[in-house]
Amino acid sequence: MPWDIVVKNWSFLAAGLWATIEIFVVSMIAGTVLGVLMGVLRTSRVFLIQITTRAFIEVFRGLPTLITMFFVYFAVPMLFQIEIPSFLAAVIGLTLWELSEIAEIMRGAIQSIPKGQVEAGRAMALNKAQVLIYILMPQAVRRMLPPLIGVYTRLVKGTALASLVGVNDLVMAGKIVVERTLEPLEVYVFIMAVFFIINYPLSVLSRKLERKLI
Amino acid sequence: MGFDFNFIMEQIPYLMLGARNTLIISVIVLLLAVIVGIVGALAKTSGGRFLRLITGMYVEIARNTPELVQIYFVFFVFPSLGLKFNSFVSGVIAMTFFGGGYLVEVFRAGIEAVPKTQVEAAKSLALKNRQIIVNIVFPQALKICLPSLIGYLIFILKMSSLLATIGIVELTFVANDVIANNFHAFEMFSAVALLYLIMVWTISWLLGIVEKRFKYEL
Amino acid sequence: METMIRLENVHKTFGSLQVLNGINMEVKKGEVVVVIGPSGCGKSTQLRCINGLENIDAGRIMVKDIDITSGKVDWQVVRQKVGMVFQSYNLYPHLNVMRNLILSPMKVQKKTKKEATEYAEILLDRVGLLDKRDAYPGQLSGGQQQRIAIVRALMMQPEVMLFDEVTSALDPELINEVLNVMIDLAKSGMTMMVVTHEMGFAKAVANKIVFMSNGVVAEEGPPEEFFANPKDERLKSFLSKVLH
Repeated sequence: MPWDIVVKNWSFLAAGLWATIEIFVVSMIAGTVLGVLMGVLRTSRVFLIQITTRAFIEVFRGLPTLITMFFVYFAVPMLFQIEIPSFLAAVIGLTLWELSEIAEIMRGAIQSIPKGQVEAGRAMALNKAQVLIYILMPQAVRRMLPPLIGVYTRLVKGTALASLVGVNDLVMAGKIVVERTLEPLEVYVFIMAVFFIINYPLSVLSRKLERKLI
Repeated sequence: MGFDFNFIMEQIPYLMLGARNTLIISVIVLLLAVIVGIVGALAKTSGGRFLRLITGMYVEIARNTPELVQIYFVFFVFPSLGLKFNSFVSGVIAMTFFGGGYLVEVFRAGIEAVPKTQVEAAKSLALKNRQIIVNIVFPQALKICLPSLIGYLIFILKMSSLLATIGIVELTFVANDVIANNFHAFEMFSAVALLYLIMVWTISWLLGIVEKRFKYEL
Repeated sequence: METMIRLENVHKTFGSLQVLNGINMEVKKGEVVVVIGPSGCGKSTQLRCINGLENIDAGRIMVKDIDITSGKVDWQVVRQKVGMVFQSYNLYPHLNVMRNLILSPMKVQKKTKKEATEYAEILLDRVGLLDKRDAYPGQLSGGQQQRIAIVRALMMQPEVMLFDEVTSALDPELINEVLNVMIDLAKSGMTMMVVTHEMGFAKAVANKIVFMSNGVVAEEGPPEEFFANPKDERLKSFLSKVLH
């Protein structure tokens, strides 16, 4: 396959790829931080916190991310008479999904740690926060890592949705190039290859870690 | 600006059509993906080296590239290669492609989870290899896989929202279609979101029941 | 009397571990041969080789007049002659008792469902489990499952039955119900090869006891002589541990 279309439009496609990477990095960091926080809140003993975090998580894990993104991009501005730029809408949409997934993983990991661990920590006169930080989290992180990387690979794929709220990401750039050149094969093979190169190592890593755990 | 209930009431027939199509497409894709998954899993567990390699490559491509781009690939690239399908068929092909990629791994894990002693018992009772796969390994693997399959129905249902981009009239398409003509985006997306959640939560509730019932010790 | 099973100088290794180190043994028609020995002595492996679940490295195994180590053996034929019962029962969990029993007779021996079911009912009645015909294995006790597993093997009308530590996984109070089925079977004239730790059973029904140690037959003989007057040092020490 001649790669001249990709080569000729390289700077345009590269700008798109850069936007894709930006969306990924920003959402990844925001989603991870908020997700861990939400996960801790989810295991709270306070019923009101438990129920609201659970509702939040169930909603944003249940919704197609595209719908969340559209909601942020089309519906929220109409409701509050504000404008939300494409990039921000994409990041918020992806983050809401991702943080819910991570919170759920976190809850599962924390709850899978035997109760005796908490009791042992308490018996050694650690307070609640210390038990969480020194006993639960280090054990939870090991269990969380494979599914967490799994979420990141899905996030990488999810960034493609940004093109649907008007972000000039790699997918959008590719679409525009195809419209100009009418040569879809080369462009889409290129796009798939780029995503594959990012994602494949991540999924291999995730599987390796999973096997290590067992 | 308040929530215009009357507007949503007017849109109910159209919304229901979208929801119905979303469900139909998801079930069709799941069934086709199950077939792909079973064939792929058999190829991976008992196929030759070449077959295993090809299946492995397929699984990796299906799982590691964006679903949206796969849909575009079928819809925009296939025609340039002389493969012309309407948008419905294109959407189903693309979704079966990535759905099947996940299910290959699900079924492979299911087959490998059937204890070796079951195969030995069947051998000692003079069953042939094919009979053992059909009568002993497969039914048990299916039972092991059933919860994951229902989980993937949710995945497929959510992913079917992407089909709006190639003009298939499902729930997300309905929302976009209606708001293109007026300014009721908030009402419309709330209604659509609610419908998705009802479908997804109903399936995961079913999943909970199935998981409880089929949890048997081997 | 006709020889049902003959092992000639059988060798078998797992990796670097020599499990069978030149076994010679013979089971004649109608005989009950009990194989005992410390764990790891190769007694289970030997049974599994007779049924083709493991391949041997050297030597020869004959089932009646069929050399099953010749490399071109039809296992479907051999396995119909040789029934096997496992330590962990290995009933098919997704099939109810009746379907566990009739699967092979129908698929392999091409019996009709009616024929197979009728025969299954006779055998189930004999072991006192006819009322469990529609139960699933998961609903049965270990002892019941093992009795069903014996019936399942008998459904093929085998000429020899192999028992691989069939009571080892059972709670003590369930062991006798299984042993009683085996004793009845022995009395009915079935040829049996039994790997077990149940010395009471061995004394009661065995025609011959074989003591295996380190992958060889260390001593064999009729039970009276075997227990009263052991010669091999390893056997003496083994018996002193298992007979209190």
